[in-house]
Amino acid sequence: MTIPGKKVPVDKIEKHLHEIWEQKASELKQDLVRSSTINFCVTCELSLLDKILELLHHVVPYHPGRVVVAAFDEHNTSEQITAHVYTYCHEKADQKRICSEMIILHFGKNSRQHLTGLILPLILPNLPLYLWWMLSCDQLMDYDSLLKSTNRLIVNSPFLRAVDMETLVETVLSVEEIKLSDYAWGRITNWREAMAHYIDPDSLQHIQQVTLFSSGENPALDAWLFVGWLASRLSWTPKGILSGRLTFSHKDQRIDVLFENKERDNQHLLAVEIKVGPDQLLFRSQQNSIQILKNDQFLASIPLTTDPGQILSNELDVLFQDRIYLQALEKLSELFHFKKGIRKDEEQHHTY
Amino acid sequence: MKSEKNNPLEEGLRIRKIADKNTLVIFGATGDLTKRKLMPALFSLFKQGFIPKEFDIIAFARSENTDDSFRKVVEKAIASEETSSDSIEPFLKRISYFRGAYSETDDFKRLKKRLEEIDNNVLFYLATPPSAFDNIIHNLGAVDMAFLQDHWTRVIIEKPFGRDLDSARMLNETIQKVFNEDQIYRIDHYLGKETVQNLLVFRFANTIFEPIWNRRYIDHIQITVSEKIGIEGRGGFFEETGILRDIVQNHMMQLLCLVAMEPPSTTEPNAVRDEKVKVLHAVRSLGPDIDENVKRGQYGEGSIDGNNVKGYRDEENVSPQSKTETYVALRLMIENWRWAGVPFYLRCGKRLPKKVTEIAIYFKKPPLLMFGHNVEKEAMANVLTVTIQPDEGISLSFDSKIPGYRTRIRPVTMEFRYGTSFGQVPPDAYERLLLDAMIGDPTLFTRADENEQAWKIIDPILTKWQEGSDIPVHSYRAGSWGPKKVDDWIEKQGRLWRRL
Repeated sequence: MTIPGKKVPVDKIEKHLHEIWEQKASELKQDLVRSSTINFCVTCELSLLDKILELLHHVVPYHPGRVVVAAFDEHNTSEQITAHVYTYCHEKADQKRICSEMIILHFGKNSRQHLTGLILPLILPNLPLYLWWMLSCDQLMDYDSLLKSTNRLIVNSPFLRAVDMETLVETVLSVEEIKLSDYAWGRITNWREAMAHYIDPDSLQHIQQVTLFSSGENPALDAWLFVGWLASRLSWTPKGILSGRLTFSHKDQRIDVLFENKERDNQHLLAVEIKVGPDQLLFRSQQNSIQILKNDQFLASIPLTTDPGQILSNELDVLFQDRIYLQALEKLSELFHFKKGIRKDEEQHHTY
Repeated sequence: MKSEKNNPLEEGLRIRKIADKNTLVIFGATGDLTKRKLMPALFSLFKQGFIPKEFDIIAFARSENTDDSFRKVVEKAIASEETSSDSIEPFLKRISYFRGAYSETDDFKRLKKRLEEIDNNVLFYLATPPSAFDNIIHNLGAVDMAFLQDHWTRVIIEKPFGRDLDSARMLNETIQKVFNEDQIYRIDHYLGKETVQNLLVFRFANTIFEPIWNRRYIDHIQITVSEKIGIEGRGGFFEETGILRDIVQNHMMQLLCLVAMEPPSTTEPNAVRDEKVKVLHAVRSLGPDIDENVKRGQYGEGSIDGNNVKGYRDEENVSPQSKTETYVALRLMIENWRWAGVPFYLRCGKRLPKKVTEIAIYFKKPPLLMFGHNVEKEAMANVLTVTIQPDEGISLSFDSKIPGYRTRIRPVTMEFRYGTSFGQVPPDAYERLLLDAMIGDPTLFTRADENEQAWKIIDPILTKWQEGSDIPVHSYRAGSWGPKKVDDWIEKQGRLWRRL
């Protein structure tokens, strides 16, 4: 794999970046602006580096700053770490070129313990650090110093195994300083908006059944997050968990949540069907939009953001802890604990 | 209709609400505003999905047109390099043309019938000259279109909202006879600008500024709206209006309010507007001191961008003896605990060297005696500048030692620019305001009392100018920063206009 940029010694990254900036400023006639609004650190497997860089090139024009990508190569047993640096510029309408700096660190299997020590000195002071963690959560817990310096941790729950999700829920809920966000949570934002906007608040207490259609063999994590959100917002209490079906209660109302999986390439939420009293509402994805149907009659449609760059960019817009997300996680945690305690015998039959 | 009850699902959703489905009726649809601002803004909202696909535009105007011919005009107005005909087509399909006269009640009956067929929420947009407002509002009331069963109706009214206090009151009365105040959206596009909205965030979301945002630390404040353009062929309109009515009464008063207001307890529309109105109430009446506090000017011939330009009195439809002001400078005092003794200088003009709108906060100078007399002279006051346009941002100037063996001081700046710090292109002001009106959020619109209170400040000046023919209109050369006499006036007060 060819890593873009200039290969430089890991202890000379700043020096070489400085030289690149000087050279760039003398070469270009246009106004060149080195813009720094955030530190953005991404950890990933080396095999994903190309995709990640492509995505980042779409995101940095909206969030210029210093980007550090730490790519881990499980097949490389050496302790060597390499560094590549380059600047990424985009031209604005007023001819100004807004530039970010990209640093790619390539770690072998046996050098990952140096991650924190290498990243911390590269962080620009007084700017927030976003850490997008695309490795397993077990590994994340080994980097507590890095976590302490992180303002916002972004995980990508579809990349995580179920055990990770549980670990993550418990870890995050126990460490208040970590402000966590989730790429998958960003992906269900439009679904939440559609529900919030098109279900009358008066009828929310009368929901009887929710059916979530998602792709893949198992319910997509998007679907789980969606259930966590809905149950937490509407104060539903878990009452039963069986393969493909959850039961909640609220006051005297029983609510059934069903998962229907359809084979598709991706792992996303495809539709949500809600039974409220005599009415049936259907929210379904259709060509970058969510269509809303009431009793099979078209009601409205709203845009569905599917562009990964846009979803990530939205995550970088906020620094605070999304309380609603945490409450959704708490509800999922409650569900997992409920499952462990009450239906332990069935646990191994269900994956989520 | 959806219940107004609190919706637990809406909590925490960062992305704004989507407008309810609605029909927008634009009166004055063939006018310049519709072409230049409204249609591009609506198309942008439509493309981004902020307004639902079940949205219609009824373009109401007097001239002869068909749906197709009008759509062609709109297509030309919204076409750009980035838009394909595929993306324009669905938007154009939502537009229909309605020929009618503003004074003809029968035409409004036909309009009502059309709206009944569509069976939708309705937003009326009065993009006409103010002379048509009365007829339109009267006819909307006459045919019972202000309130619909099961649907909301709202009305957006373009400035100028009145030409003095009496006419503003009369207009308010006329509209309020037909619509409730919470249905009325008086638009001032300055409030839709991102930097203007950022003023509240800047002041009230940061700890470091608010403690020094008062008479103890601030010497004075300058608010400038400078335009390079002249009157652009609108001689007839400008002769009747002048820059005091056109810019100061609305845009500049809004900026004044946002700079000077107390923190509202919430961001609820009326909480914010209440605080703005309090500022206007606290502005000291100019009374007999008008000549001392208000200066006017008019551009003569000069040079802009290397081209010779005419003087105002040589412009088309302008009287050769005209006394209409193309430049005005005011000193206002706000009599409250926070601002007592701090002058607010407002200046705006046409045919000035560049287009810029900014607010400059001049802090008091420190004693600096420890650096010696010469250094004290070199030292400048700290100035915090909020640039509204064109290069939106905030900068802070402070003094720094020039490197070397001697102690010499020079001001340096720390800058924040929207364009280089955030990649997102801020929405156009009209996009934001149209969407807010469709959503039903009046925060960025002017309330009746706010409008009338602003006129109360301006009205005595207009009256005095009308009565006193001897009040000078200072001439300035086009392409200069305004009349020399006005520079002298501020210098006599120990201050200088900010060099922009």
